[in-house]
Amino acid sequence: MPSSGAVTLAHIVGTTPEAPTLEAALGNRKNQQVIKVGKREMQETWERLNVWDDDSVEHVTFGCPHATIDEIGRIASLIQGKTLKTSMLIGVSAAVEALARQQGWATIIEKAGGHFLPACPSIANPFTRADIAGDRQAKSAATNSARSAHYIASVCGVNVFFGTEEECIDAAITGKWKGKMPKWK
Amino acid sequence: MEIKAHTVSAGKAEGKAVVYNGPFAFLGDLDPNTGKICMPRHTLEGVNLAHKIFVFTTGKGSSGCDFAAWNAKKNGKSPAAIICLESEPVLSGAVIAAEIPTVDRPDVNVVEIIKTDDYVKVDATSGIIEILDK
Repeated sequence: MPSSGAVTLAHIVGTTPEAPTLEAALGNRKNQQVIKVGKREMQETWERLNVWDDDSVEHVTFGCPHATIDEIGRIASLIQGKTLKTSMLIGVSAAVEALARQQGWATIIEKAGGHFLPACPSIANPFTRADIAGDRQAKSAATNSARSAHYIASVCGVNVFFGTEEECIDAAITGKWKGKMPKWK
Repeated sequence: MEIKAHTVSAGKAEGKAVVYNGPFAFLGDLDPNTGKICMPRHTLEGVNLAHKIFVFTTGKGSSGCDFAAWNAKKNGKSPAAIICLESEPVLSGAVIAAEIPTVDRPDVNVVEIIKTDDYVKVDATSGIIEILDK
């Protein structure tokens, strides 16, 4: 999984293509450093990414870095025929957006009030940036992306809700946040 | 007290230190309009880095670092100089583009030795850090 941060390549064992096993991901070399992530770290991170003082949601964003076709299909099936209370932005690659249009899912999402923006990182989210949206800036945003949550809170200075895809879709339909901290083992 | 370090971005600056025992990214951590740390719940949230000698552990990337650093510098709100333990490629590119004097790999652990509000001189061209009155 390429990323242009300080760590430019990340493997997730069993998920990313070059990491079927830990040995393959490490290129048969030894670990240089092992960092244990437990319940406490998960809770601290979840709390750090939830920066809000009231439960009203004005914007929901998915796809940071970019939404997959599976995510778009799930979002479409959950909001089909509904009118969203919040604005919604889905960041996609141009290829996945084309596929979503071919499937009819893009139309379902747009009819409900959602928008697609190809090749748009969260940092440039036009709904939450005061320098782009002006008076129409959303004062709160929900997302299932930790990357989006971090940047929207710090760069845009608005309330941020970080939760699951289902919690975000519920917020888009109701305009209220009902997300709960997951129970990590 | 004099400390030797490795040149990342040439130049000279001096001022009061702000020390942070953690990593830093220009994008998302620093408000380029005010020079303040803007990341919610950051230990230094609200602390102004403008014209300060900013001391921290490592860069933590974010590909937008270069434009964020340049934006802060253009607004006159960037740190005067940076001292860190290890500057990764993204931070290095950002400080070179924004012309912020920067050194890394100091011969002692600066995060422990330099204290916030110490007066520090950085000659990044020669790789020399000087802590006055120490």
